[in-house]
Amino acid sequence: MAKILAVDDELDMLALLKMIIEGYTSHTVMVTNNPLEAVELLEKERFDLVLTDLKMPGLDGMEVLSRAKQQDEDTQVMMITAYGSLESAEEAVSKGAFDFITKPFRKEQILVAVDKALRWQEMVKQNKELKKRLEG
Amino acid sequence: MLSDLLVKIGFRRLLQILGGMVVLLLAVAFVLGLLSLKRAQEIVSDDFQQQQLILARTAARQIEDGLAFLRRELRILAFSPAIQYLESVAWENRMRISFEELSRLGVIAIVRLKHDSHYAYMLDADGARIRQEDFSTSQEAVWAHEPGNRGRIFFSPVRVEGLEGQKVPIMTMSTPIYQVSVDESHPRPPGAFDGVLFFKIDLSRFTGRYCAPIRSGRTGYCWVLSQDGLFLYHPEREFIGEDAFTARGRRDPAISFAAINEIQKTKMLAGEEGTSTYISGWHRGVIHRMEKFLAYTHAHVEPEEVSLLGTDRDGHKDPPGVRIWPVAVVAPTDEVWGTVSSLYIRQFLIQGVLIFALGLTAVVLIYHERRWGVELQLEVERATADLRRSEERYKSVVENARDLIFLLDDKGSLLSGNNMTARVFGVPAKALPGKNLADFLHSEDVARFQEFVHHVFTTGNTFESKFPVRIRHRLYWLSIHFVPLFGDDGRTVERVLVMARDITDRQRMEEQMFQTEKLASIGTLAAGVAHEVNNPLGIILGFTEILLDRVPPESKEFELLKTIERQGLNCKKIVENLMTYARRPARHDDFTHFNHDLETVVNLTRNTLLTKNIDLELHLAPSLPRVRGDASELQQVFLNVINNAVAAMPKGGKLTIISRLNPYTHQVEAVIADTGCGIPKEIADRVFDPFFTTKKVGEGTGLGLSVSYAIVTKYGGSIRFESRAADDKTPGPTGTTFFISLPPEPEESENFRESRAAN
Repeated sequence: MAKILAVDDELDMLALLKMIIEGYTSHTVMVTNNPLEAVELLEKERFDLVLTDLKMPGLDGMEVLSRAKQQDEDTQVMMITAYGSLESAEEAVSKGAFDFITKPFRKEQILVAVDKALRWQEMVKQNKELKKRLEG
Repeated sequence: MLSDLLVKIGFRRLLQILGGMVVLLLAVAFVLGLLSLKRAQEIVSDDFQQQQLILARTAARQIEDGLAFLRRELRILAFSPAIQYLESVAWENRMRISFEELSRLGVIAIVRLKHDSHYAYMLDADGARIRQEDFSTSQEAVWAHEPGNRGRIFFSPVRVEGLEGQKVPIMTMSTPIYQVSVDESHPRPPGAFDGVLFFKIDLSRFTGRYCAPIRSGRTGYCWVLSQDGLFLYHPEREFIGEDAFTARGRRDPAISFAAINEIQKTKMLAGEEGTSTYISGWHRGVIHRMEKFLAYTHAHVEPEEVSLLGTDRDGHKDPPGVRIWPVAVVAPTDEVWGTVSSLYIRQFLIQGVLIFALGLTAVVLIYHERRWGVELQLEVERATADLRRSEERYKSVVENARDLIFLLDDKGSLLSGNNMTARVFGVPAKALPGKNLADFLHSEDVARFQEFVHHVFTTGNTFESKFPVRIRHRLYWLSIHFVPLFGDDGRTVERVLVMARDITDRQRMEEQMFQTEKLASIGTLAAGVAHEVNNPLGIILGFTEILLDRVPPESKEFELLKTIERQGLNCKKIVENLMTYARRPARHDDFTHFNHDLETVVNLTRNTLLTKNIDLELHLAPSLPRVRGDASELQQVFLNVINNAVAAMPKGGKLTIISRLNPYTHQVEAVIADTGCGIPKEIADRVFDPFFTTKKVGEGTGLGLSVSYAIVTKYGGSIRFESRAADDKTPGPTGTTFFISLPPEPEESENFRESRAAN
């Protein structure tokens, strides 16, 4: 069971993401429509995965990505945006995002992407654990 | 009169004449039937081919979408730190996560070559491993080493490998790896070149995923070629990986495949789109010589990246810089023509029986006539005289009015009616008296009528209304006056005079105008907010999907939700269409051959022009320079304009197409002129508006010209028109002329001389 944070300036979009993920998986989702609040939350709590919109008033998704990575390298970040282009996807991935999804999306797309990101996170963590044991 | 004729020529002779006429009529019916059958076959095959072409285009677009997905995945992987820095376990885990989805698209291995090209980190169906070998001469490694190829994607030429006893066409898709991404161990990325990442793709599985489900007609199927003419996908497994020019001949040497080979060479591999027919020897297990319909187009393999394949192989003219895979859909002509022929044979038999029955009736009548002879002749003469007098009486204004005029009693029964009434009600005028409105009108309309009639009877006032009435299953819009006719006392209404004018055409026109105006304003808005729509659309579709899972599938609510979902997906498609043109920016080095693109489109429409009786006059200026633009986009512009010209000439006409270098603007210009109905002044300033269309609902989206406008202006060109419609006061024939101009390739450009010589 993973902890997920969803950030989007549209409240309905957040309700949808929460309903999809909590309805079809055992993960819990916290939501906020204020990116500044998201940054505060990231400082206070640990999240396995952050889903964030790219264009938001106040603070954009790239900034949320770098703050999340600063707080915890293991936190995976996925961009969800209505302005999909390959260039912005590449930029996000090179700065540490795991994947990039364009709106409007299908329920299945979100579920597959969340699953991929969390499996990846699990593998990264295990890998680190094993290395630590080897070194220790 | 008939008796006179009988007396004059005799009964036997009359019978002979009638018999002769029956035979003659049968012969005429047969010839007309044959001509009509030929025409119907032409129309049906033309339609069928257009349908096949749509299927082929769909498959081609799906292949392009599939390639776009693979490109996207390759780039995302290339930017993943796990792939860039190849830390143990991490790289194989990252590959494994993507491989599951990629393998469904035909990817059989993900390979990452190190900078020194001596180690390959790879994952395939057997698992992950590191191979040590000298890969430095592999074309992927050689290409990736070029610093100029950073950020690009390379598609290797297709090669055939033997896997499990079968030939498999293989292609690799590679991108250079630069260590630029940030992770915990690399907070400051070195940015250095570190080799190449590529997907190894089984193209038969990749293209088969989109082509295998395609059915054209009952049994027609789809196949795909590589640019070198190898079968990438064919429903006959043994053809895959074989050379398309020799495989068929090897299977059945008795048949000449010259026709299909010629089409493959000069059209399909040359990047053209169109339809044709050819002779084949089999189709889905049926083996005999048969003719097949063929519709072909192509998928662009690499819209922007560079190919090492070269542009000229075996004399094929590939569009420079762009690699294509021809996609074809074929179906036996018998399937299409067979149905039409059997329908016509039935129709001919029915015609024959009818003509024979008519002849027989005539003989019986004449026989009857002859028996009653003279006695009846007097009666007929008297009746004829009565009829003539009656006719003269009825030749009044009312009788010949174009409106329906009739008298009703208080029960809605007809007392009399004029010719127009009789015609619309479908009975002779004489038969009208005594009939009730309910005999002709839909029951709901009768009730409405009765209500108005009753109103006039009770109030004694004239009443006027406009409403739709279904008479004998046809819908008329009628403007109706109900007028009371008073009895001798001047107060009691005895009858009601109904005068109804048919305003169906006017009503339809008003409705259509309302509709197009509404769409145009919505469309202008919609294009502007396409991006914004994605957000709420995503929310609607998302919640619908969730509700679908919560509602039992057999319930009414489930069906309603399905409808919402279907319609939401339609919206998504429209927004995607709008965004496609907004998204793809013009590139400075995009140049295309103007005449070649124009000819491609003209060849595609030649069949349509023939069937629509449109004469074509084509004047292409030789040695025009290349123009700024993308071949497929420019072809789309020409196709949109020519399609509109064809639609403007439903009764045939003349289409003149000229290409030239405009001496004043110094731009390359196409002039496309039709002799159609012209564009009325009222709509002239709206034809480029998105969603503005004059076509019927379902026939046009209204995006054609607005998309053309967007494409041409994007490359610094212009599109305008001059038109003269029928309502124009100035003298002269009607028609529209479109002028499409694009800037020529600058002379200092590298390839200018070469391409000019080639053009």
